[in-house]
Amino acid sequence: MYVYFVRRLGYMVITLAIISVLGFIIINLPPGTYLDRYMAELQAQGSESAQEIVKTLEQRYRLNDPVFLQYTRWISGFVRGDFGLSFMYNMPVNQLIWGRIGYTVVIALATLIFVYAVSIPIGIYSAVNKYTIGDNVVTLFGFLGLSMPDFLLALILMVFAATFFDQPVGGLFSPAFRDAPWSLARVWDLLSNLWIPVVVIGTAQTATLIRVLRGNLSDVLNLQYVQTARSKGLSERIVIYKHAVRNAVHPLIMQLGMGLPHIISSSTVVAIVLSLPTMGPVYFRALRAQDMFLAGTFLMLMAILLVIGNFLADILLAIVDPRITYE
Amino acid sequence: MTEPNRLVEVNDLEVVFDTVEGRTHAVNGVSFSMDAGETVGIVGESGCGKSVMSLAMLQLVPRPHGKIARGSIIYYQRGKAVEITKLNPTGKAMRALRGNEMAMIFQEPMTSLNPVYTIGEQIMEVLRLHQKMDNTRAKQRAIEMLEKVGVPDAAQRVEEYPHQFSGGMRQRAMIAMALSCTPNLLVADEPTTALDVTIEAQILELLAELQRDINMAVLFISHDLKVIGEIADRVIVMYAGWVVEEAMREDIFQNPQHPYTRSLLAAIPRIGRRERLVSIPGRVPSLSQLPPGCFFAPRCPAATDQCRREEPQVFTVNQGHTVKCWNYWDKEVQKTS
Amino acid sequence: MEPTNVQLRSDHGFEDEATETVLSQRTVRFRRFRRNRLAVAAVIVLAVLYLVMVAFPEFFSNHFYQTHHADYVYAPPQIPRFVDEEGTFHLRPFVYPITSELDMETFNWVYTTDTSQRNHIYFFTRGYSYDLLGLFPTDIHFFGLEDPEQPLFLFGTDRLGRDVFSRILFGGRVSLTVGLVGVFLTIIIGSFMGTMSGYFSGPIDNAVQRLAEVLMSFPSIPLWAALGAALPSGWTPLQNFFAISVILSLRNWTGLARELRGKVLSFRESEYTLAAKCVGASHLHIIVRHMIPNSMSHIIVISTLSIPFMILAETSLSFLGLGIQPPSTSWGVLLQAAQQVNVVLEQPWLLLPGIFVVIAVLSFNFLGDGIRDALDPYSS
Repeated sequence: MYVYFVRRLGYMVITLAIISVLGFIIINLPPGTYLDRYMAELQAQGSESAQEIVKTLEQRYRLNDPVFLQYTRWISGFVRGDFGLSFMYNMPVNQLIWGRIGYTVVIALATLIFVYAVSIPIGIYSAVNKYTIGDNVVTLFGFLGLSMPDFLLALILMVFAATFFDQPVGGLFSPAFRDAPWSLARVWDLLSNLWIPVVVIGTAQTATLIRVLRGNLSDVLNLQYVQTARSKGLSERIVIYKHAVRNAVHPLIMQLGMGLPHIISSSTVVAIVLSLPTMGPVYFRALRAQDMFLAGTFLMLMAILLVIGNFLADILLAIVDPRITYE
Repeated sequence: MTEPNRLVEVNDLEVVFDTVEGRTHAVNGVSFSMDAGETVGIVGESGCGKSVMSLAMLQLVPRPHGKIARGSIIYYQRGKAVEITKLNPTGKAMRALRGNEMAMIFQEPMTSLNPVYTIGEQIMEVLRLHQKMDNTRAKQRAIEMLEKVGVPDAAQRVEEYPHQFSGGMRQRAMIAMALSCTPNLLVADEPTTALDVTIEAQILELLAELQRDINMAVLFISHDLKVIGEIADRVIVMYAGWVVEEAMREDIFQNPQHPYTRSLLAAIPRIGRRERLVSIPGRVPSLSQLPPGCFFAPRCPAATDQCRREEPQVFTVNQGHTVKCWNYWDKEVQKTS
Repeated sequence: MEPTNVQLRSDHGFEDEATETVLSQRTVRFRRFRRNRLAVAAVIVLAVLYLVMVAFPEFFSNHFYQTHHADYVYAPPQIPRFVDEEGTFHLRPFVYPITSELDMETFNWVYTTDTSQRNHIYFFTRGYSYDLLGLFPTDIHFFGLEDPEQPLFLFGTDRLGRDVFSRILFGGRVSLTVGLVGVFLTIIIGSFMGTMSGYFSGPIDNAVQRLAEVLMSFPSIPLWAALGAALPSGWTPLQNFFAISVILSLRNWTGLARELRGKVLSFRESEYTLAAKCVGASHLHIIVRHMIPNSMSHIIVISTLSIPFMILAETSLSFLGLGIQPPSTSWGVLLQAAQQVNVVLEQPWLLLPGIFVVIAVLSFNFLGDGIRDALDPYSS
C-alpha cells in the first residue's frame, strides 16, 4: 500500500509538470500579448508616453526573454505562490483568486455530494427494477439531463424563478448578505442559495452516474456470486445491498476522478449565467483580454484540483477493492 | 410417495425463458425423484437445460425472464411434503430452505465467490443466518469446515479474499460454505468442469466422502459422462430439455438404449481400446426453434419418419430404467407383442 | 446398433452452419435495433434535421439569416393559424401582420397585431435568391407570403431584426456538422493512439497514456476556451469552423484511445494474433486486419455517443463567445443573445435554439444507446 501510494504520488508530480508546460504553451498561443493591446489603448487615448510605459512593463516582467526563461520564472514563482501580475486588473494574481477558488471548491464539493447522494439510490432502484415504469421515467429524465446544455438549464431555472417567485436568482448570496461580513446567518444564506448552482451543475453528472450504476449493477446482478448469495438463503435486500452494490460502486469511484473535470468545467460556464463569484467568469474574461498570467493561473489551478481529485479517487479505490495490488 | 426414504420429487417440470428471439423451453416436462443420501447425475451437452434444471431445484431460475411454467418440485422436509414450486422464490419459507437444507455449488469457482469479502465472512454469513451463531462461533465453524474440505492453514486463510485462493481451493471453500449447515440436498452444477483433472479427482473424492459423512443427497450435473460414472448412483440423460434416458449407473454404461446416450458413451476415450472416438454430428437445436417430433431426430442416425413426426413416449426397459425413444418401441416392444 | 455406426457429416456441413450464424447475428442485431422504438424515432428525427438544416436550409428558410429587418426589432413570433378572429376556418394557414412602434418612454418596440388583414402562407413561393446545394441558382422557398415585403417571422426576431427561424436553420448547419467533423477526427486520432498504445506496449504505450492523462486533467471547457481564444481573429468562417472541430477532438480522443487500448491488449494475447504472427504477418497487417475490425463495434458506439457531447461543447463555447464567431452562426451563437435573464424574460423566443440543441442531442443519445444495445449482446 505504501509503495503504491508513493508511486502514485510520483506519477502525480510528473503529470503536473507536463500540465504546467502545456498550460504555459496554451496561454502563450494567442498572437500578440496583452501589452500590445494595452499600448494600442494608450495610444488611442492620446498618451504620448505609451511606448515608454509599455517598455517599463516589458522590462519589469522581462517579457522579451526567451520563452523557456519566462516559463522557468513563471513556474518557480508558481510553486512559491507568486502567480505573477494581472495586466487587466493591474494587481498580483494571487490577490485576485483565492476567494474565487474557495467558492469554486465549495460549489464543486457540494455538487459532488449532491450527485452521489441522488444518483446512488436512483441507480440502484433503476437496476433492480429494470424496465418498469419507474425505471423508464428515470431513464427518460436521465437522457434529458444529459442532453440539456447546463447554461440553458441555468437560464430556464432563472426564468422560472423570476416568473413564478418574482425572485431574482443569481449569485451565491441574497442581496442583504452580499457584502456583509462573515457570520452564521451569512453561511446559512450561502447554503440556502447554493442549491441552484449545485442542481444545475450536477444534473448531467447525476444522469451519467445513474446510467453507469444502472448498467454496472445489472451486470453484477447477473454474476455468479450473486446467485451464490441467493443460494445461501439471504434475503433479496442483503443480496443486493451487501453482495451486488458493493461490487458495482467501483466504477462510481473511478467516475469520481472523471466527474470532477465535468463539474469544474460546467461550473465555469454556469457561473457566467448565474453570476457566481467563482473562477469561471474571471477566467473567460482574462482569456478574451489575453491576460496570460491570470488565465494561466486559473487553468493550472483547475488542473491541479483535478489531478489531486484523481489521486484521492485512486487511493479510495485501492482501499475499497482488495483485488487491486499495491506493488 | 410411499417411499420412506424419498427426499425430492420432480413432476413434469417445465421452465421457460422469454427472450428477444421468442419463448424458450429450457426444461420440458422433466420428472424424476431422489432418495436421501442418493447421488443422481444429470448429463447432457451444453444447452440441454441441465443448468436451468439445477437452478429450478432451489427456485433460482433468473427472473423476470425465466419462470417455472408447469409441474412441481416436492421436497420432503423430515418426512413432510413441501411443494417448493408453490413457495414465493424470494419469500421467507424458501429462503429458510436455501443454504440450510438445500445447498448449491456452481461451475465457476473463479466467479462464484464474492471478490470483496473474505472467505470466512462468506461462510460465516450462512451460519449466522441459519444457525443463529454469533461471530466467534461462526468463525470457529468456518475454520472447521475449511479444514474438513482440506484447505491448509484454515485459521489464517479464513481471513483471505477469494483472489488469494487457487481455483481448486476456491471450489473447496465453496463446498465448505455449501455444507456448513449440513444440508440434506446438494445441487452441484458442473463443480469440476473448470478444474484440472487431478484437482477434479480430489474434489470428487472429497464430495463423496463428505456425502457419506452427513448422509446428503447430491444432484450432480455434468456434461462429462465419465465424471458422472465415477460419482452417481443413478444417471439421467437430458437432451433439449427432455429426459431421454434414466437408469442406474451400470445400466447406462452396459445397456444404453437411447441413441443419444450411446453416442455420448462413444465419445469417451477408453484406455486399452484402440477404437475411433466418435463425435455427435450437428448441435443441440436452439431451444426456441425445436423440431417437431423427437428433438434428437435431426442428429439421430436411426431416425425414422415417425421420429420426425411424433414426440416419443417413455418406455420402461426394466425396473428403474426408462427411455424416450421410438426405436426402442420398434425393436423391443413390437417384437414381443 | 454399434455407436461407431454414427456417421460423421462432412466439414462442409459445419461451415455452412457457421456462415448461417454470422448472417443471423447481423439480422438479430438489426432486429434488436428496430425493436428499440426510441432509437428508430431518433433516426427519423435526425434525418429530418440534417435534411432541413444541413442540406437545404436556404430552401426551408424564408429569410436569409443575416438580413436585418430594421422595422422589426425583437418582433414576437407570428403563429400560423387556420381559424380567424371571427371563428371562420380557412384551409390555407395565415398570419396576422404586425406593426411596430417605438415607445418613447422605455425605448422598447411595441408590437400590435392587425387582425383585420390575413396574410396567407403559400408553399414553393419566391423569395431571396440562393444556390441550392451550392450548385443550382434559384429563388424558390418552401413557404412564404404572397408579398415578401410583409412580415413573416415564425419564431420572432432578434435585437437586429433578424429572423430567428431562419437563423436556427442556418445555425443548425454549423452545429450539426461541427460534431460530425469533430467525431471523425476523434475516431482517427483515438483509433491510432489506442491501437498503437495497446499493440506496442512499453515506451510508446507509456507516452500515450501519460499524454492522455495530462489532457484529461484539464477541465474540458476551460481548455477548449483557452485554445479557442488562441485562434487568430482574421480567420475565415470556414477556417474557424475546422479549427473548432480540431480543438474539440484534441481532448476527446483520449476516451476512445483508452477503451481501444484495453481491447487491443486483450486481442494481442489471443490465439488468432499469435496465428497471424506465426505465418509472418506484419504489424500493420495484424493491426489493420485483426485489431481494427475487432474493435469496430466499440469505435462505432463510442463515436455515436460522443457526437452529442461535441454538439454541447460547441454550443457552450460559442455561447461564451469563444467558439464559432459571428457573422457565422450556430445554435450556441444564437443562445449568446439569451445570456441575460431580463432579455429572456422580455423575449423568451430567443431560447428556441436551445430546444433544437436538446432535440438533436437527445436523438443522438438515443441512437447511440440503441446501437450499443444492438451490438452488445450482453448488455440486455
